[in-house]
Amino acid sequence: MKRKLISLLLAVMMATAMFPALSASAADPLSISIEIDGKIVTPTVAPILTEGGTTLVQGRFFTEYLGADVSWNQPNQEMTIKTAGYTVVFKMASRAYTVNGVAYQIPAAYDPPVNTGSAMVPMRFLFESIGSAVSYDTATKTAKVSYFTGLTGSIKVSGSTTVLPIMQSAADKLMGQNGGLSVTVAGGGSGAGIKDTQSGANNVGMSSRDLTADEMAEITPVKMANDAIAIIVNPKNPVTSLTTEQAAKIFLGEITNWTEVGGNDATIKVQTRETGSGTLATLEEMLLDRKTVVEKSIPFTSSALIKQAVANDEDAIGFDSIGFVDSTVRAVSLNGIDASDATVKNATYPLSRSLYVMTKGTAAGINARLIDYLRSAIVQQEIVQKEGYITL
Amino acid sequence: MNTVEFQNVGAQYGDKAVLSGIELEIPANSIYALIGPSGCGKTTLLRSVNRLNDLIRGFILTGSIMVDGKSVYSLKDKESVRILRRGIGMIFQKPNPLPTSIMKNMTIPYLEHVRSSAKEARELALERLKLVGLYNEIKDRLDAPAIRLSGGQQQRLCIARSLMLPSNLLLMDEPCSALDPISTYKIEEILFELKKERTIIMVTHNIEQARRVSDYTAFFYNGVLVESGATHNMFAHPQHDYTQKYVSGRMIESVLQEVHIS
Amino acid sequence: MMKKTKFKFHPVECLMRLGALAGIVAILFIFAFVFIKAWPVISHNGLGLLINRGFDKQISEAFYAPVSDPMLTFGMAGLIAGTLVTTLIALIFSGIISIGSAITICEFAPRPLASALIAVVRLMASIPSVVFGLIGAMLVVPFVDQFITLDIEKVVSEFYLTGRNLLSASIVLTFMIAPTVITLSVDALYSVPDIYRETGYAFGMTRFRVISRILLPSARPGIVAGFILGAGRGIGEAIAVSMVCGGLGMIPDLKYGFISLLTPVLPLSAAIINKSEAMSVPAVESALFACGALLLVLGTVFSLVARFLVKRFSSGGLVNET
Repeated sequence: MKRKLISLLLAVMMATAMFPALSASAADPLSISIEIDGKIVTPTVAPILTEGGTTLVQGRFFTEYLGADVSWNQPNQEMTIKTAGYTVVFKMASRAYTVNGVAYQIPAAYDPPVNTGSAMVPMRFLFESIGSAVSYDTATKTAKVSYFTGLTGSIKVSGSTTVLPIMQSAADKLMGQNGGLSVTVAGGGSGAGIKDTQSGANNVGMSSRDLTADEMAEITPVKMANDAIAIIVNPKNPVTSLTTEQAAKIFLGEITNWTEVGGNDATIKVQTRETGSGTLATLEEMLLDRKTVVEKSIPFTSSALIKQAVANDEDAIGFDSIGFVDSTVRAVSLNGIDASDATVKNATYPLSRSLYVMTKGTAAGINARLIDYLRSAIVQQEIVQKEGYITL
Repeated sequence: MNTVEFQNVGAQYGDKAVLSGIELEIPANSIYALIGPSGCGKTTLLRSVNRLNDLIRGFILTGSIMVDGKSVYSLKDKESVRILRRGIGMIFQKPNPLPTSIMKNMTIPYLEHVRSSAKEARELALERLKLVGLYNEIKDRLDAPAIRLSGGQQQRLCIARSLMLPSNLLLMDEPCSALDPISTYKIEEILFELKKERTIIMVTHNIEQARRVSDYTAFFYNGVLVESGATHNMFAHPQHDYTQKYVSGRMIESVLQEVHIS
Repeated sequence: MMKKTKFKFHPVECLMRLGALAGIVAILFIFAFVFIKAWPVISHNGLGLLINRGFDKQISEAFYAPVSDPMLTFGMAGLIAGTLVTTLIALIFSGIISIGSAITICEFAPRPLASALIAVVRLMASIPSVVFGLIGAMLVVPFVDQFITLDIEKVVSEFYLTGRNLLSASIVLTFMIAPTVITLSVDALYSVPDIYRETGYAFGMTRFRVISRILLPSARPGIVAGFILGAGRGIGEAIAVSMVCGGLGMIPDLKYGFISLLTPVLPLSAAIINKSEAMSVPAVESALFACGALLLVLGTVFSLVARFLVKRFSSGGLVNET
């Protein structure tokens, strides 16, 4: 996909170089600001004003900013935007577009979308197609879009305790900017979350495991973050890699000396987290087959403390959310695979998994908006990353 | 012997002189009363005998005090001073039993310095308590806190306690000033008994007491010794005008202020 | 007399009585609240709560137990032992430090130095406990960790020995208790009448003997009060201790001798902090409130005993001789 994009870009660059007049006549850079939920958002490609007076904006940038999945069909010159509630397809140089499969037409007074190397879509129809509205302030030359503001109603959320911290922070933030919105977040675990979604006991469910085909029949899951646990050792420890089996045996207390896994002759000191920690629960679920960590391990109350303990003790082994690992400790590779953003995102790292939110059927209204919010740049950068998870 | 001799004794706290040119000889086995108005320096003189004034910062003594012919202030090392103090009993104005039982009050100083069993100490304590006439009053509650005794009993306890160590010289700083007449009488009785083997120097404000119990009296006035001698003599024929006024109780404060050390 | 005053309205007096009443009501409310919350666990376990062990595992089991079948069996003997032992050791340590410091301040240091030292000590008493916890985690834990050699490690098999243990918790607690004990001891020593000192010196006692035989016993009620306040802080202190105690709620095993000082503990107060992550489960919540209830009971019993002790000591005697 990336390669396609690059070649497209190159083609366009060559085209514009060869026909400078064409590009100029097709569009002029425009000095307007686009304000989303009270914040000026600057795209990587500036908006343009066509000769016909239509404002075109960078379709991918803005919808991804709002949490959408955007895909590009090169042969058909079609851009597909998927938010939680809407699937919208714009075709370049065509006034016809579809929203959730229903065909719509851009009125003749407006120019159609155009591919300038980036798909530029008429601003009004881009935002309206995903359920938003645009107002234009001529005095400040600012287009105002309201997407995560002005929401009212109440949403019940339940499910995975791993997702819960992100959800709670995001819900708090969202409620902070929407006085009429109430989001109640409860735990209960992924299973309960899925059941609640099926029965309608919640509006949005949370799951830290992939859904089965049966479950998918009724429920639409949307991936909202990646989670991975790093097995950490002291940087001075010569052991740099373990198999998942070795790691599990260490944490279960079946392997007790570092020599058994190719290290120094020293007792392995297992460090763990206090009961109730989401990270511990994830480790026990993914690595230990729901058994508990060896009893004599020393429990810590926070991510920072277990890391500090490993950093201070050459014989220690611990675990932490991958986002929290820094140079004071070393994450060992598992089954030969390093723990990294890339191996987590492509799910090759053994202790990685996707986190989902889900609704019964396709999400709509404020539920869809909440899901979009979780996937938006705001939550991904300000919450997902900070809580130690891996962004989408 | 148990004699004390003051030779040209002067004393000052910092640069404030409180005594000067004191010449006085205390004969053995007598009660010597030091009298005089407040602030005349008699207490300072008394506390210099066992060098208790050393505890006060800035205290300087000139001249010399001889106890049994040995100069008290020539003692250089601390241990010698402590040995001196052990040989001199001291009774304070306010009864000062320690916050512990009657019996422990008696035995603490003894066991501090004498290698002895607790039993011996106890026997000696009982003997001393009998000596001061306290035994019969308190024999049932020897382990009761000493502070529960009456003021007079407390003071007699303190006297008995000071007798636990072999001290032949007793310093008493207004021992009866906080007591009622009956308690005072009892203590005076004890003093007569003690005098047989000991020398007692007693500071008192009670002129009548001085007249009753002492063999000798010294009258101090603003840091100088005005007059001293046999008590009956001094009270009958005071040599000095101030002495005459003081012992007859006609000396009033305003008059005192006019007098200066000459 | 009551009748006369009954109809007179004293606004200030009324206000003060109201305040006192509010205080009593608040305390009763706290007791009631804690005990109601703790009731499921207390009633389920009865006296076993005080006798049985295995708190760590029980919390974990309770956390993973299905909602329909909550696990309510808890035994807090290890936590109670942890609380008592850490406090006791800290009291012994701070006793040595405090009495020494107090004597230095009162009897040896020149006045300006003494008042400077007192100011420092009072300042120390007002340092928030989390700061002690941080210092403990960064300085005391690595320091204590040095004592754990390979030979010592081989002795103990039930758990790993780290710098987070009974000794570290006691040391951190010592530094939190000591300022209180020093302050009260200094006040007590200063309030010993000069005449007691003079009495001692007049008996020819040395300075050391005067201090040990007369001053300290005379100041004992105040010093004991300092220890009682210190012990109260020791029992209730949570944050700092939770950061250095090791977090495993076991009874220090005497068969290890001095090595048991290097084993982890989990005092009641620290348990509330450490296990609070699992508090979303009602059974765990109730168990932690039961910890709180035990602390309240322990605190109450302790203050009653302390009251009795103070009464004893304020009229009691100097130490036995020979």
